[in-house]
Formats: sequence, C-alpha cells, structure tokens
Amino acid sequence: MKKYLIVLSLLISILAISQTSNNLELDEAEYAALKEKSLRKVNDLSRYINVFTDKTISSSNRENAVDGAVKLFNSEENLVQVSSANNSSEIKKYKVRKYFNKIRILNYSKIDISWYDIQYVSNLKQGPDGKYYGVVTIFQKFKGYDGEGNLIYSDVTQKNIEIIIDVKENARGEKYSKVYLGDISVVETK
Amino acid sequence: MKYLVIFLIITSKLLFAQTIKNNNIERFDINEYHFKIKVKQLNEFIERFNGEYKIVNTGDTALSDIEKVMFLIDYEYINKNEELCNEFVNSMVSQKYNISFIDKSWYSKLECSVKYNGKLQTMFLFMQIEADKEGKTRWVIKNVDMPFIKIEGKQSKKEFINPVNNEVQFSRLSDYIVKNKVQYLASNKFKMDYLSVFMYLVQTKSIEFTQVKNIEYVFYTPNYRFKVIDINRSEKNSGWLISEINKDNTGMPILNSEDLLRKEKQNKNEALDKIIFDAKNLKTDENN
Repeated sequence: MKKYLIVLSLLISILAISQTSNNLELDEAEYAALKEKSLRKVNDLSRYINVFTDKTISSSNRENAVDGAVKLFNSEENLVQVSSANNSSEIKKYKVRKYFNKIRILNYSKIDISWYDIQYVSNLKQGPDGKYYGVVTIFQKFKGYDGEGNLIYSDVTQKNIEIIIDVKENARGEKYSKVYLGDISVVETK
Repeated sequence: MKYLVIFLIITSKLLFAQTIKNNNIERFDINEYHFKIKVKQLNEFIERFNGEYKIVNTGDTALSDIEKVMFLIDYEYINKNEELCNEFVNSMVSQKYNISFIDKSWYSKLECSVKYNGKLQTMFLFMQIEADKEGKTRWVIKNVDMPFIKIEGKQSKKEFINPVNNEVQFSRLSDYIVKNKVQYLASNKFKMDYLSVFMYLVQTKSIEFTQVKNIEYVFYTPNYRFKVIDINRSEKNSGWLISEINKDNTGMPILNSEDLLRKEKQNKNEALDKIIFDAKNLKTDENN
C-alpha cells in the first residue's frame, strides 16, 4: 500500500511540474537556441520532401519518408494551405499527410526539388497555453520532367511554416523543449 | 520623380553591395537576392521598421534609417505620393517610432468568403492581438462587417408602442414581433452589434466559412495611419509593404464600443491633464 502511495505522490508531483511549465520564460541564449532548433526541424522536413519526391528511391522508402515528415508535425490535423500568386481566390487546403502523398505521386518521370539558402525565423511568441510559436520562411524550387528529360513544369514557392515549441522543466529544474511543425502556407511566387 | 530616384539609389546600393560581395555579376542569383530582401512575414516588416533586423549579405548596413523605412513602402505608392511618403518616413525616423507587437495601435483586416443563405458572400473580420498579464498573446476578433446583413432601427409616427401600453400587459408587443416590425421598437441610438450576430450565425450553422481571401494590417502612429499588404511580385520591393499612408492623429484604431470608451476616457484624461497644467502655470504666474 505504501509503495502505491509513493508512486501516486510521484505522479502528482510530475503533473504539478508539467503544469507549472506553462509559465516558463526563456533567457536570450535559450531563445536563440530554440530558433536554431526550429530551423533544424524545417531542414528535416526539407530532407524528407527530397526523399519522397525522388523517383529513384523505392516506393516503400518514399512512403516511410512521408511517415517521417508527418511525425515532425504537432498533429495529423495540421494543414497545408496552397495559393497561387496570380489568383488569391484559389486557395486549397490539405491535411499534411494528404499533401505529401499528393506530391509523392506526382506524374513526372523526374522531380528536382532544391531549396534557396534563405531561411527567415520570426520572433517566438508565447501563447495562452504557455507554448512558444514562431514561423520559418523557406523558398523551394520545383522542376518536373517528362520521360524524355524535358522540363514540363517548374515553380518557385514560398513556404511559411508554423513552429510550436513546448518548453518544460524536468524534476531537476532543467528546461527541455520539444519542437513541432504546425500549419504551412505555400504561395507560388513565380 | 525625386523619390523614384531615391528608390533606385537604394536598390542599386543594395545590388551594388551584393555584386561586390560576389565579385562576379554573372554569378549573381537574382531570385535568391529577391527573396533575401523580400519582406517575407509581417514579423519581418515590424523588425525592419523598428531597425531591429538586418538582412544578411545584402549590404543593408550601407543604408540610412530613412532609406530602410522608405524601402518598406510600395514604390508605386511612393511615385504617386512622394511628399507624403517623405514626411511620413522623416517623422517615423526622427521620432524613433517603434511598432509594438502587443499594443492596441494596430489590427488586421481579413477579407473572407462565407456562404450565407446558400450564396457566396464577402465579409470582413477585424482582428487584434490580445495580451494577458504575463505577456502571452493570441489573436481575437474585435469586430466584423457583414455588408450582406443590414439591420437598422426605424422611427415612425405611425409605428410605435404607445406610452401606456404597459398597463395592458404590452398588448401590442407580439404584433410587432410576429409581423417582423421589431426594428420600429429599437431605440434612437440602436446600433447593430455585428460580432454578436456573426457568432450567433456561426453557432446556429447559418453561416459557413469558406476562406480568407486577403489580409491587410493597419497601423496607427501619433500622426499617421498606414496600411500594410502583401505585394507578391518578382521585384526587389515585394512582400509585406506599406501600400497607403494617411495623416491621422487618432493614435489608435476604434474597432468597437470598448475602443470608443477607451478613447473617450483617454481624451478626458488628456483634457484634465491640460486643465491641471494650465492651473499650475496660472498659479506660478500669480506668485511671480
């Protein structure tokens, strides 16, 4: 009985710790480190996109890459909102997995996806739930080729990716964080 | 014309700096350069307006504060409103005016598509950042505008409930409600609260939200009001830019009755401060 009481009190204290974590504030170094961590998460997403759109990689590995990409997100319910530069009234929304599967099976013999070396990270802002929120902007160059190697489609898109950072404190009072991706807006720039 | 020249100087300065860096104009990737100097997020607009953010590897350190703010204005607007833009930029720089993300001096206006009574309609949402005591923030709807719904009070010498009808248990009331003439019973000062109506329509599923079509931000400074929109074009001057400037000393947006009350209170306080100040000066003069 005593053993169970100890376990119960431990559980209560863990719950209490995670509850107080809602008010954790960040110093300058921690803030900068979280911005870096957000960028790494976005780079992970870029790498997964490169894998699941690469037709030379086996189908099962590409499906695994979609799984990996989706796991970077806060939830499967996160949305990708796609709009065209010339027609703002045409906005399409997809859940992340559906969007990735859609571009995984695009009907091109070869796809080239490259990323501009420009990444802008917004300031992080704390929401009422205590989590920190930011947005990373990246630019993607897409080229689709037919069987003869002719370029049949190309675009450059700006992706604004939400970042959700859950900062918590462990029993020793050390801060740790989990970074997730949130919703994405994709805007064709040319 | 003068400002077009200034603008060209600014862009050429940036271009020149980049070219020197690459030391070879052939290697210069114009797209990458565009994206670097494009104002990619509203957050970036605020950082650059406040002079807190430097665009890496673009030579923007060579720009003066005036040039940096001027760069955040749509050049087509500058061409048409040179004098106003110049006054505005000089005023912002000389006052060292900074935009604060959490204060009430700005809002977002969203043009949205909705389905109402089976028809696609356009409505507007006015949203603002709300901060709690700990500085945690969220977007809230301050007001809405639904041009497709108009409810106004009416006054008439024929349609009213007479002053003694209460003695007969408001016998005429049901008539006005059943026959849809209730607007005649609104007071002279009646104003429709669109936000409450919108919330009710959403809750009763009478309105279906389709999408956000356009977003603009409106900022208030002590002497100006300016609008920021996303200008998506393959030019250096692109992204979230100032598209309109107006002289305005309101100082803050009045989006709903709560803002109006706050503004009235602020005006009263200012008037009171002035009276106290004048009275103190008068007393000093008398003593002298």
